[in-house]
Amino acid sequence: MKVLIVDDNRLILEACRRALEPEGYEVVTATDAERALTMVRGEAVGLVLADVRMPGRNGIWLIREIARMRPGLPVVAISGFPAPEGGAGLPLRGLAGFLAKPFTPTELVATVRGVAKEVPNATAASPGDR
Amino acid sequence: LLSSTRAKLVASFLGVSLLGGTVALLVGGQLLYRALLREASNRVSLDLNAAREIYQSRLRRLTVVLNAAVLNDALDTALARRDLPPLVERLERLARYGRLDFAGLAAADGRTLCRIGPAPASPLSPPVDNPLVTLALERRSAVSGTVLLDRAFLQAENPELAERARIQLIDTPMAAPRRGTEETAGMALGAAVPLVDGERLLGVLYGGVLLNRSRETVDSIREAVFQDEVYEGRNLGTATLFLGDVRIATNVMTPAGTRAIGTRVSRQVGQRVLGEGARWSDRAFVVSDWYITAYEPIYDIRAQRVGMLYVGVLEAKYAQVRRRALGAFVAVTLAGMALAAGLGYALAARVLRPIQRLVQASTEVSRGDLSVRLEPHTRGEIGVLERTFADMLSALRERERRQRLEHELELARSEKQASVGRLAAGVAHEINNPLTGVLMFTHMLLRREDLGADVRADLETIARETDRVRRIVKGLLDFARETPIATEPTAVNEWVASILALLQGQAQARRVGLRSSLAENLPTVELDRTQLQSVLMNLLLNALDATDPGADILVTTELSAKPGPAGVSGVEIAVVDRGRGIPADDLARVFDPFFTTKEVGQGTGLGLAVSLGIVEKHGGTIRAESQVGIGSTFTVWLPGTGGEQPP
Repeated sequence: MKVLIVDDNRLILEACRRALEPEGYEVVTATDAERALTMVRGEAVGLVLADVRMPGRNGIWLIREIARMRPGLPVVAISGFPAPEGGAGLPLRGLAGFLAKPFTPTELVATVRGVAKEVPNATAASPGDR
Repeated sequence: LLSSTRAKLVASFLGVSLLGGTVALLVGGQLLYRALLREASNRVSLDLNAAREIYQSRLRRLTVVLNAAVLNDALDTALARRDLPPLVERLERLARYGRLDFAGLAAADGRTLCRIGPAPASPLSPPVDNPLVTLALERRSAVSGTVLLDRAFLQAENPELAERARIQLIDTPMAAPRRGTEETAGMALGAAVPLVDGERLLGVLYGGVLLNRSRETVDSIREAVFQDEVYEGRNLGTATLFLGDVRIATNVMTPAGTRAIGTRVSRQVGQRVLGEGARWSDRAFVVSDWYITAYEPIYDIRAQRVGMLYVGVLEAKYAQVRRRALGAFVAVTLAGMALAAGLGYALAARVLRPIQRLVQASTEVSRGDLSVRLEPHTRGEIGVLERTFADMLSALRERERRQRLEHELELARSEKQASVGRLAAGVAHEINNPLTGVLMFTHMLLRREDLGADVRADLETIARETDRVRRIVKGLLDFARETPIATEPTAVNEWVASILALLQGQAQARRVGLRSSLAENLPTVELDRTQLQSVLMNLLLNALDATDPGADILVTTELSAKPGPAGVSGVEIAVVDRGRGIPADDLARVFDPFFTTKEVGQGTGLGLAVSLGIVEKHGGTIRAESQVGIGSTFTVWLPGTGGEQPP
């Protein structure tokens, strides 16, 4: 499964990639929301992990856009602010989970695994799969 | 308060002064009037003496005139010779000089020899009774005084006199009843002097003045005694001569304005003066008015009471004086009442001012203004009241000061918390990113199999300490959160389930089961999802911390009435763990800020305090139940808004 991770902090992206790839996930990354949206549109992404606070378009915008464009594509919000700041204004529709920074690899993998398990293959299939 | 009490006080002052004034008016006025009347009566009594003197002087002049005439020898000679014409001539001169109404000479046997007037004496004319001559002959000496003359005598002397003497009686109020309609007798001042030649009586000279309808006597009395004083167009003083009880000469006027000749004295006075011969000195009804009067009897030459002499002044004048006096009394009373009212008003103000001040002060205090200054200036009970009030005020002020101080401390604390929180929030985001890196890479290193035991131990230390940093930052962020709630109608079960879903991953990582038991038909609840989400997450994370791997956490929702105000229904959300439990002593303090049972660095002690604040802002409650070794239950109660949520 292809997991898209969106964060303006490259250290976070690298850490997540290092944690998820050994678990068998294909990881793609983006450092801003608009680029992430382009990737969602172009690649067969099965899951998105998105930081809420980012320069430019933020994670909330991204989650909404994904919910509009690819309903059913699970998105997990990541935030340095635990709820509620992290979750403030989070659209619950399309939000599959929440991960508070900082997190351990175990928590990350468990969250991703839990979300991925609930997603049916049909909806997880991206346009690129066909 | 002031106006009503003042009105009462003024009214009682008025009452007292009115009572006093009225009593003074009645008693004083009456006493004064009596004194006045007595004084007037005394004066009139003196006036009567003066009147009598005038009456007597008239008589004396008459007597002198006749006696002087007798001294003339020519009269004797002519009489002796019965030489009548010169005698008549002499008599006429005498009458003119002495202003006599009648005059004549009688023989020694009493028969009239000659007289003045139109009817000369004749030996043929029938003899008439001449009371003056008769008495003079009886006594063989001169006589003078008041004398009653009958109609026959007057007719004989001069028919004009008889006519003048005739008086029609006029019905008079309050007079004694009397028969007949006219008085024909005349009352006169007269004198008779015997003419004597040695021992031989030659005759008697007589003469007099008819008083009937005579103005001279009464008017000269009025003039001399009362100076013709006029009161309201009428003569103030009056004088009257009575023949019996009939006015024959008077200047008392009838209401028609004529002299009241022919009217009669009141029965009471007549009885007293004519009947008993006493003086009358009192008020009396004269013709048509009340007068202050004096009467005395007139005695004739034979010492018979034949008439009365009267003087009197109009009582109306004294009544006027009385009215003026009463007016003055009334004025004084009214002035006194005005003064009393003013005094009462001023006194009321003076007495009530402190009470008014107290009332005002309590009003201001009840409005919450404790800055009222109340200086006790009054003595007595009101002073005590004022001091008590002032004490109460200062106690209230002290209490308010303490409360304000506490509030200020509270405010300072929360401001401090807020600024710490803003700082923490700013820092936290910056810290959390690098912290994520540290945590991730440390844990990933720890997964490697090829680590030496000492390296692994060091890495584990790094991981543990990093985790501690994570908790500290989280606590700071929770504490910083102090935002007003923004509620929206929320279906509780759905909302709870979504939160549980968010934490499912973290629970699974710790191998803790997250189960739920959600009641159906719950009402929609107005809540701030964002803030209550952190509350529920805080409770869940606490439960996760307390729960050993392998155990379950149960989240339940149910319809519940608040344990407090009855009838208010709401929703209870309970988080039940089978963890270590909280000792009773600590349980009472779990909602206190900065209270924590976790080891130093593991918790900030703010989570539950913040949660409680948020729930209370929703009008809800959180209660904690726990038993050591069995587990804890945290129950959030939120008031419902009625609408049932579909199952």
